[in-house]
Amino acid sequence: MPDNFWEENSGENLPFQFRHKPSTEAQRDANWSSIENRITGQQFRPIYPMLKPILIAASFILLVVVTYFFVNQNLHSTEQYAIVQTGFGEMKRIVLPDSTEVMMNANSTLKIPAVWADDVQREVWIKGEAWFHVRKKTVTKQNFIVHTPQTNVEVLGTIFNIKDRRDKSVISLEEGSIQLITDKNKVLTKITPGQVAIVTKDKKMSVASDSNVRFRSSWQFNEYHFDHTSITDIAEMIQDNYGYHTVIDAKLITTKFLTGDLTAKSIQDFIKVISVAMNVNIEMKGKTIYIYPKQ
Amino acid sequence: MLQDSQNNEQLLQWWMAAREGDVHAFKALHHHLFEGLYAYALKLLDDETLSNEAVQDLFVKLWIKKKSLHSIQQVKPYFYAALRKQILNYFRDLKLKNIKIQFFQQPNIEFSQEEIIVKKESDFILQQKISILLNQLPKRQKEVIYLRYFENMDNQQIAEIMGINYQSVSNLTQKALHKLRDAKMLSTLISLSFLFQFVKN
Repeated sequence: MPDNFWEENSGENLPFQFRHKPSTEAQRDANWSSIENRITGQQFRPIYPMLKPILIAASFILLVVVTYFFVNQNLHSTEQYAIVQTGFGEMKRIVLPDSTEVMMNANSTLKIPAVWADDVQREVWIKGEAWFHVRKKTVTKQNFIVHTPQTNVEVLGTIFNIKDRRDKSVISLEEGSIQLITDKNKVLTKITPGQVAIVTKDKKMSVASDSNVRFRSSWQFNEYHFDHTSITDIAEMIQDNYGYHTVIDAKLITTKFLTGDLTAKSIQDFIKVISVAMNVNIEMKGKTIYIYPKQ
Repeated sequence: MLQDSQNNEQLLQWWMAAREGDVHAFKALHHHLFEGLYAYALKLLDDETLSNEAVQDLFVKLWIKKKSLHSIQQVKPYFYAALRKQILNYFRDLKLKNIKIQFFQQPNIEFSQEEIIVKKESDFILQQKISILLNQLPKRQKEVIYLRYFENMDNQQIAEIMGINYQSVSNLTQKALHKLRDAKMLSTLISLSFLFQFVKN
């Protein structure tokens, strides 16, 4: 520094200036669009504009059961929790009393409190798979906690997918900010959009990035994205979502992988597409699916 | 300063129109204030997603409450004060839930060298030295310096934003400037003593 660097600048002038790290116009405009949506009361705005055509299409081909909970908060209910379940091959869209949207995948269970009040923490329990769009509580700032058998996810207002299958929770964040916390509310890790956290039964945790994080919740539009996915992983998914036991010929296990997107609205569709895409024979006998090489 | 008061006239016009339900005027306010508010939120929250949401929440909240807000004279400081309060409340609530956080009652602003412009634009070492000196200031002094020199706020406006009185702002500014000058002298002394040891050896 020059010797007279500070001294030559008397009074309250500083001998240097500040500048902001500038924000972009795109950032500003996106920020405004969200505000505009919220203040002009467009209640049924699309979740993502780019998915709108898919959403419209999906509403025709999907049999989505829409369940609304009207909970009378003044009633003293003996039931402390409500339980929502989906069967194999079934999805349900639920709107919780705080306007949070939950799309439940097949073979999943969601437990929610019967009473929702402004002074009570919002919390739900999920087994299976579900996509959440949590409404932010701007006034009361109540957090929203999703419990899985493996971990707890604390949310402030955000879009994410949780898959809890086979003693493993996979949490994929699309928008906003969430953190994993222990049962005693200690923060384990913070997750940023595009990240995927995995917590196992023995509480081992890992976080990775996934540039295609949205594909992890595209099941709600009956779309499935595979990226060098093994036939055993696909079989597990069939079992988890449709309840069919699968038997795979040993020759296929290490040799067959699938990359690409497919649309299937039923298990029949699903195995038809898989058999063509992977060039294998698939046969359904009762509740068992056999996969073997083409002769 | 004349420019600032004209500026406030314009902001006030937009705000009055917004109070009557004019979304376009409210948009103009957002357009004008976003960069500074976002930068301030970023200083307080140190998280881009949360800062973005904080600015959204601020505008939504003010829009909802607009009819009951009569007495806004200084628009820009009002928005900054409301943002600051909202963010501190947010941290207070996290604190209540036993979540470990970095600050609670007083934001801790960090300066980085890219934010500092010296006469010689490329004087990297000087920029670095200044940012180190600034970051050593107590939290309240840093915030006063930030609002004063980044946002061109005067003492009265800073007092409103930080919820302290005019005299405190003035004192904090003086103390900060003194410290910066003292620090400069100290660093000269340190380099002298270095030199001294070097000569002795």
